[in-house]
Amino acid sequence: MNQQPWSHWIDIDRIQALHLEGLERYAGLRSAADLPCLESALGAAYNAEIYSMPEVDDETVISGLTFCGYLLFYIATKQCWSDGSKRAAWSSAMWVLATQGLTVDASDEEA
Amino acid sequence: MAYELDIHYEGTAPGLAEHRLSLGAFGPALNQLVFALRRIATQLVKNAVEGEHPKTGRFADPARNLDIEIVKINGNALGLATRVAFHDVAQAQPDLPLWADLPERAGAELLDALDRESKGQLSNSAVRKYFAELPEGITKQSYNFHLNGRSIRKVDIGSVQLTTLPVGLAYLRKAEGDIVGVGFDPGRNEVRVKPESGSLAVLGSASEQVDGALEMRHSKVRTLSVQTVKGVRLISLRRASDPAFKFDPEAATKQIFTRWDNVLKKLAK
Repeated sequence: MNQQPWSHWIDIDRIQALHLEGLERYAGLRSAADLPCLESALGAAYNAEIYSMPEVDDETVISGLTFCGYLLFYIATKQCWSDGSKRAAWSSAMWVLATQGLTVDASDEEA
Repeated sequence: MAYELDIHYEGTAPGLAEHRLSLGAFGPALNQLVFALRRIATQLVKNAVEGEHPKTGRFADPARNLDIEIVKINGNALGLATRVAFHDVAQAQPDLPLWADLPERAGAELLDALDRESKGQLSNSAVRKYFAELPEGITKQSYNFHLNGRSIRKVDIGSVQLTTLPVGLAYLRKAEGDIVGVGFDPGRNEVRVKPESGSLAVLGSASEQVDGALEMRHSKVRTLSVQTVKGVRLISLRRASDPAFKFDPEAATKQIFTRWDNVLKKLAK
């Protein structure tokens, strides 16, 4: 399998699984994912991560937060499926945080 | 053998209607385009020799004289026929395999970056600056990079959708060390941690975290904090001897769809 620099956070298979889970739980039209669209969203989010990292050579800095935010934005706005993109965007972002033992501390309304 | 880059601008920017190149309007942008090309070229060289050559920087120096030279200005709005070549061929050591195809690789990557950045996909900050420096009123741009009539890469751009990165994005920091102090009401709630190496970290905290820090003050601790433009905030505080976090995919899926059930329901509407 082709390892991408973001694979330790999330990959296309996982995003598709989260999207499918969202459709099964909350209904919606099933459609095949536009894979180049998803690859583009992941690549763009990773680029944002790389370009936003502080210019310090410091092993205490942990990457992933910007990737998470941008992934949420790109999957929600790119419409890589005909239905369920926003659910997939939110659950994918939460997944990225979960890989680091994190979640969002906010009410449902704030989220 | 010369690599050529044909650039074509259309629109109402100064000079376009008269088929003239206004240096005042296009000079800063074209300068930025050359900078972007050189930056790509030096990065390609660094990637090729890093770790194997003791003076990577000096090895990459010749890549910095890769140039875009305007050969001719064509009619039909504004067309620039340019040549992508080393400014100083002798210095560039063209016989070395690394240099032979450097103009082609750098030029092709430059056009990739132009394509991506024009769509708002972050790729190359120097190319983003190039677009930002272009004068207003350009409605169409095209770039054709070719060698002896063989097109290597061609990009057509309509309206440019530039992405601007917000400054001061938050990022995470981890540390392991000793709690050397805390602050609490009526002052600021904070936990002060002295790492094994590096300077003292003063972490803004919730009152419960301050209480937790007091209980752990004789143990080595592991902290995770978020750095924002407003300061540093403690996210997690654990004893260093506690088992390290282990990600469980099944538990994560369950937690996401349980905790965010209401939010996902709303998003489905």
